[in-house]
Amino acid sequence: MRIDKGQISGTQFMFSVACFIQASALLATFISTVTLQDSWLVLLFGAVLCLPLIWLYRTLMVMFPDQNLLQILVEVYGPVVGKVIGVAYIWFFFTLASLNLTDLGNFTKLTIMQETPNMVLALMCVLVSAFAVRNGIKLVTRYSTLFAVITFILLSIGIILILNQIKLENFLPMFDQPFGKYVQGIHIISTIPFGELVVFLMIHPYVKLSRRNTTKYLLLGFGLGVITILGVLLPNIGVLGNLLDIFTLPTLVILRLVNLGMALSRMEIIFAVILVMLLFFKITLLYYVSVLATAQLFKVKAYRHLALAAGALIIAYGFTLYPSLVEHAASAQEITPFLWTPFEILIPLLTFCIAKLRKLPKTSKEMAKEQEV
Amino acid sequence: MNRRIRLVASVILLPVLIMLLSSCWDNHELDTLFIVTGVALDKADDPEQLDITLQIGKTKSNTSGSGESNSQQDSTILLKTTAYTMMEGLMEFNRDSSRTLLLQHNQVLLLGSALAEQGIKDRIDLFLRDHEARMEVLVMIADGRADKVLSAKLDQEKISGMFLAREMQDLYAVSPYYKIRMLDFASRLRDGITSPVAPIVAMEETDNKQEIKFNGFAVFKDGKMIGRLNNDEVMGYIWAMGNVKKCGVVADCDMGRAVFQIINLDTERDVTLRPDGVVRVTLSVNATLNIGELRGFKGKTSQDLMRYLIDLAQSEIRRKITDTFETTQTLNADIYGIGTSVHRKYPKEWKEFKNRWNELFPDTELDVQVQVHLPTTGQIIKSMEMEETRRED
Repeated sequence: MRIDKGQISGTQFMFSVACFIQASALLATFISTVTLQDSWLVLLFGAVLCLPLIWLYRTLMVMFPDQNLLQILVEVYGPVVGKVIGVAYIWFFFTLASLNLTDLGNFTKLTIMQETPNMVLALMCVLVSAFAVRNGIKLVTRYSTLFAVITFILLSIGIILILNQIKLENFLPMFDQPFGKYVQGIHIISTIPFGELVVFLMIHPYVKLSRRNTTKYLLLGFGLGVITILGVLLPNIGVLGNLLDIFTLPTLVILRLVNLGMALSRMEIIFAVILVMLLFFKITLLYYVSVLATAQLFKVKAYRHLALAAGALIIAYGFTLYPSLVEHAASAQEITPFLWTPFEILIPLLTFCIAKLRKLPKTSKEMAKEQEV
Repeated sequence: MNRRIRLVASVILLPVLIMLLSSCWDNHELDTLFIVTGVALDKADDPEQLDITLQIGKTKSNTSGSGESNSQQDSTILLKTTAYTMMEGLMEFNRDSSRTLLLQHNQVLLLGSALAEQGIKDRIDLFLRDHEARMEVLVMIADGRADKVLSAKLDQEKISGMFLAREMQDLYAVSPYYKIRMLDFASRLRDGITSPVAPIVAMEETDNKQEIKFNGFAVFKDGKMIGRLNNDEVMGYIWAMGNVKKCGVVADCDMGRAVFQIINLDTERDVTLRPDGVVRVTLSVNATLNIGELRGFKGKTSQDLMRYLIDLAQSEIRRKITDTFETTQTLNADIYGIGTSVHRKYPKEWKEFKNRWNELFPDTELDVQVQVHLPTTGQIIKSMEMEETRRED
């Protein structure tokens, strides 16, 4: 029961994963306000601790190569429980898409377009996204390579320009905060940028990949994403020092500080470009996944018709989520990591265990055949 | 049928997109803007209020060349008001003026010394918060009233805000510690351990000529200006911080006067805790100098003189650094960030020290070790006076 006929290559898959994580990089304030100058260490620890999680996703992908997350759930938990969990996942995807759309609106307002209404920014983004979503997975992921490469180039330019203002002593002292802060930091980093990779369980059936290549591309994409976040965090810490946690967008502030011989200055547009580009990609992917999941749940063959309606829902939902940036940031630090944990860690883990116990992957093809018959 | 619908849809959609994407909400045309080049805040009669002065660089072109005399007066506009907060002042300016204020090109934030003594911690919120605010704005203290500096009519530069920015750019080449940006200032202000400093400028009027003079550094503590360093003491501070390029060292002694130019001066700082709880700071200064000018030194041979000059320069650098350090100890303001160094090296002990740093800093011991190299003597090897003594022999 494949709704979308498109297929994507392994490289596209890899860059999609990278782009997806990169999109969170510029908003890395979530952890830098918690663990300050040690954020980069927390990031590295978090990345290492997330490797088993990535391995879990990879295992699920390999175990069920032709079924996406919702189908796996039905398969493992049976039609009723599976569908209930599926509905919860749909809510999760929609919320993620809305949150990122809100971010896009808010941060575009902060960086380049102060007076443009949020609604217009959200609407423009969703209209373009809807176009991609209607055309299927191929178009959704087509530009991932381009976006990831542009991000790398622009980010490198930014880092080189700001290099002379980095003070190494800002990284000291290390391990100066209470232990709980590090745990909180690692929890945030593993649920907000990394754990969100669970959405790729929705699209892996469209990737032409062998068993070994799945691991390779998933980890490579993950690695690229981590490097990007590191590349954003390190200059932030090095330049801003003890002011790191008072800014809404530290990266924007440091790019504004670029001043090489009066001529090379005011580089914040780099930030705006990367931000809009990456968030657009992330929103499109989440939007696509939400639409796909909804269509699958209700057994709609022509998921295209759902695209615009879902877009409207995402916009409207986004506006009602948080009354202000402050509350958004606060909940991202305190509530969201706990709320996301079941979706990103617990349910996939449970699914994996039950599937192993019931020895499902072996019979999955037969069962699929039975269903079709 | 389908195609026709698509055509109609795109014909309708494209103009809509053009209208929306051109971001009409955020258009700022040059002829509707007032480009702010300097902001001055002064103490008002009511201590709750602020005297706000904005300097606006005119966007008018001077190519017409009709008048010489009016070009200076016309190049800036000063807007003044008194308000409780900066934002209220800005709102008032915007209401009463024909154009919108653009703060993005603001070069300098000048604080009057009276206001600085009163406290500025609660006055600079807008300069961090506003989306047009940039962290690279220079922070300076004006001797007396700040609006006088902004209104100065200078020969060198038409706009005094630009003058200050360029002057600081030059001083930045000497040492990065001269240039105090909003980021540096706010960072120290928030830190609470390292005392913020900011350059002091003063407008001086002689023979109908107005000039802006650099008058040392203001030293802050708890958001209030508590003292100042004069120009010599600023040297001592800059050298103690290191990373100095092209700066002068003047040494005076019985035999004559020597002026050296610093090619490179680097300082390494090391803090140690003595068992009795006293912090000991070791500054190892490593300087490469150039002889700039010599006066006197009769009867010295070149080799003797070189050794003598090295000693002279070393003791001069040590003296200035120690003098400044003593001044800051009397002010009880740790402008060097020694507390932060202790924090970084002894994180555990620091937890206890943190609250007592005010008592500890005045007792801190300083040890300055200066190492001077004099690789070149300039275009001449001997001076005129030395040559004369030779002939007499």
